[in-house]
Amino acid sequence: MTENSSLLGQADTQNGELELIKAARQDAQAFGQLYLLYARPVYRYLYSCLGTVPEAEDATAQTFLAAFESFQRFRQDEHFAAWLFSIARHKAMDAFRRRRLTRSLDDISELPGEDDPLTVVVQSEQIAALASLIRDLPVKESELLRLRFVAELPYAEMAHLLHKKEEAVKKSVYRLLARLQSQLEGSYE
Amino acid sequence: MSKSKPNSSFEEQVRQAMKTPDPRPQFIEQMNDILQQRAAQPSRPARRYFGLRPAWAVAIVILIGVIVATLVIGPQRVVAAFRSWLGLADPGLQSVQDAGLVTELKITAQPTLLPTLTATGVPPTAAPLELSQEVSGVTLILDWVYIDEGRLALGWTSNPLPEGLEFGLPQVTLKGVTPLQMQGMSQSFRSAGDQMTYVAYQVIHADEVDGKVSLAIDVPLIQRVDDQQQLVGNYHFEVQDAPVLAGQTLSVQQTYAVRNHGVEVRLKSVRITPSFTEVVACYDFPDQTAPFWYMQHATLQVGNGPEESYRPYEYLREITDDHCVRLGFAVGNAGGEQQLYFRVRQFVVPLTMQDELPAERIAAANLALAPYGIEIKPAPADQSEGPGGWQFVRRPEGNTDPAKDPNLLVLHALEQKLDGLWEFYVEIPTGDLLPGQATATPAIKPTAVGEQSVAGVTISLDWVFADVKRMAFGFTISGLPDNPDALALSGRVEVKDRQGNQVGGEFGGGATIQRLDGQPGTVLGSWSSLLESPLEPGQATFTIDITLDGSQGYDWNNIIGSFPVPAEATPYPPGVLPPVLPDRLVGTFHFEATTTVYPMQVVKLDQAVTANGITLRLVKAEMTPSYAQFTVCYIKPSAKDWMIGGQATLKSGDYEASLFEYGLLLDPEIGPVSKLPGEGEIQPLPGERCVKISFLLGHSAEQAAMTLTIPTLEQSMPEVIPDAEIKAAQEKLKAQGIELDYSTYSAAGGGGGGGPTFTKLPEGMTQAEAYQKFMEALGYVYTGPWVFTISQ
Repeated sequence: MTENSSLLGQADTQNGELELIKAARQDAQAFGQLYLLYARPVYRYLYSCLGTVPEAEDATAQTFLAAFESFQRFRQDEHFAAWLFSIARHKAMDAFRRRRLTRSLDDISELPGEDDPLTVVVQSEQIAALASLIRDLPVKESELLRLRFVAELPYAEMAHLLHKKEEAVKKSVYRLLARLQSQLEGSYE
Repeated sequence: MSKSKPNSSFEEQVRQAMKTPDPRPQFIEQMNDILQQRAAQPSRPARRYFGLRPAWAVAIVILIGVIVATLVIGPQRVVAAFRSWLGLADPGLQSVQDAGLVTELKITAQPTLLPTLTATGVPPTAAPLELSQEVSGVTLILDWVYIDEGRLALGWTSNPLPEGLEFGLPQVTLKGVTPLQMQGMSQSFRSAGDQMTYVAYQVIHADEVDGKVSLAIDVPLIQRVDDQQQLVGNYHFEVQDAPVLAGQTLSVQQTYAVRNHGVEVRLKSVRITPSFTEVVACYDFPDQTAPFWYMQHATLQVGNGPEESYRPYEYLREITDDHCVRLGFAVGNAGGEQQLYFRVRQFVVPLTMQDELPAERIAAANLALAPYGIEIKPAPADQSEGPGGWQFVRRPEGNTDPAKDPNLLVLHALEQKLDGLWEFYVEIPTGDLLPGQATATPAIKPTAVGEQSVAGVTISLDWVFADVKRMAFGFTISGLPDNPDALALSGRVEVKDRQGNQVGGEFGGGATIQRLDGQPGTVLGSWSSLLESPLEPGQATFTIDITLDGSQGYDWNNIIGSFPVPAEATPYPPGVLPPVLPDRLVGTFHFEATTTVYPMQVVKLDQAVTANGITLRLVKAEMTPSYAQFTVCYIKPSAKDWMIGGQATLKSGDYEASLFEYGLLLDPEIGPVSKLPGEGEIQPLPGERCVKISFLLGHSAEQAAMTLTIPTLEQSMPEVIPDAEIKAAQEKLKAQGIELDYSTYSAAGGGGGGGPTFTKLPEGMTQAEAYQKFMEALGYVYTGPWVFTISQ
């Protein structure tokens, strides 16, 4: 599998990101550049988790404020994305806990409806079928896809975030995609 | 199912299927403005003063202590100090060690695979003899002799042996020289036992014997009656000045000694005929406290044939300075195989030799018997219900399953045993060995313990422990480069059960490591993991692969463990990566270890403790020797998010553990958060919140009771605290000599944050203590304490 060139933190952007981190350490105002770099992927990730615009915006804001507050203690410069998304995951969990009608991370992907981020953008029957398959995945597997294809994290960052080896993450994603593709093909045979 | 491979096109479909809307530009801009405003403020209020959980903060302090202690007490006591440190950082592991529940391994030795000399490549040649003798009508002809610096080989033929007669293992005496490293011998018989080749392994220096040596050779003629050998006669040959070839040219080889779990087994001799095989092996007793250890399980595999267990078994009492057995196997080498494997798998202490077992053995057996509803207690020999001195306290009635017979289960649980694998490879000295002809060299099958020393680095697996919830092992690494600046041990650990499942699931485990002062390049460590899927109680075998790889430098994805760093150490600047150990790819060390898996006790409780007007109910306890998890239900002081305070502790004997994990199960304001553990297992009262709390400490201390102390309930701090509450808290704290500023902010779409900055503290008060006072003043702490006693 080849890495998508648009993925965050890739070799062509990593040096620039490290420069931004270095600058932010010297001048807190420069943190804004890191925010602008990651605001969209973090928001998309949280929207994919939470499914509503207000909750996604709230969690995004909390993620960046928390990151801003603790940035001076952050030391793993080469893994800024993993660190940021670990905060985002916690904020998503906090949001679930606050919900009166509780839905766990396992449940959220099983909730169809007008607000379902997967259904509002369905453009074809096959995409709809694929979205349905993804909705039915266990939370750990859907999280893999969310980090990879919504947050657009590179495998190295996913591995760091998930405390797994990069090769293991790659294999997991590859096997998951292969299984989804087989299931999709099976449903059209 | 289709085997199509996903490609970039399919990945794009996945992106489409998971597509989410972009954030509103207004939101992005507003948030950016807020961040810029925050950045423009002179200082950032810290919301918390702990970057680490209190338990880890304690652990780091202890690690520093270990370093200091190393300097003070010297290296000889560092191991004990390390264990002590481990106990404070992980009381559960320390307690199971102290309780003797770990399986001591000390797997350090490789199999002593002969030859020990390098083959010269010169084709071996034998000295022809054709000496003959007749005993009881059987003529034995010694055809040839071959000696080099590492091997001695003899070739015989005889006339057909009468029914019931056979040749025993020759006794060869070298005159005028004491051979070194006498390391086993093998003899193979072919046809109907009338062609024989014998090989013995020892070292003779050709130049010290002037290239020749005289031999005295005795060959017993024996008759086997009821599996016992009776001497019929003896052949005696004298060979003068047999040539000793320099180097070692005969490529035949065998494993002589294997050490595993600290126990060495030595293969003294193998005698293989077309129909049976006889092995003499000697072994150490696994410990000296037991009266006797039997080699309970050993097998022989000839070529690729099936593994056969021994029959008969004879303890060689004539050997008084070692423990040796002669094992017979009803499998021979009729097919001209060139290799065999002898494997020892288990030693046991027979219960029949123990009238009265120690109480701790009974207690350990009760842990294993608990899942079967069986409990026993010590009893005098004359009142014992079986060998070993014990009586039933309780047992299930009406059992008809022989596999669950209570008596058998008790005997199995009480039996002191040592499982492992001691594997020996033996090349059979076949007719192809005849010196002067080319000899085949079959590939040597690597064994688990044969890969523990790689590229000058040795790893010793010191102990292993498992219960239903946790698995851990200890290790020592030596031969690493001496680099005191290295911050981490680089590589990875992979632990799998016998079915190939990764222990610890996708998140694996973690290691704590420590240098040994005075021993540069030596690292002591332990690895442990909570288990995603519980193990079955009983015995379990794990494969442990430790890869040492520092070839990529400091890489967070490739770190086994980090060395303790003093808090005052200067951090590496951004972009500068600290050195790691090793500084190269060493390789993978493969181990296989078998240990007891201790069961989990699940106790339904209904203990209620009321303090300060709030009642906490302890409704369930799940305990293994190294881990405990409790379910606690309570009606909160208010509708807010009242959690179990982080100061909760669990005490068992001398061990105390801090709160490890907290999980919300049910809350009246939220509903069920996690799946409740089993229908009807927990019955919350109306309005109760139920939570799970866990500790890295179990019941291994074998104390009658454990004490769970919950000093406080704590409310999670909201993102924004009302000004009135802050002012009230400031007033309260001022009276205690604590002054602070508090700043807040809010974010678009809700959310925000804030925190105190202490401007004045009483002498000696830490920031952490002040923060706790601040929380109390705000009313975010509800003081108990609630103390529960959990009897086992």
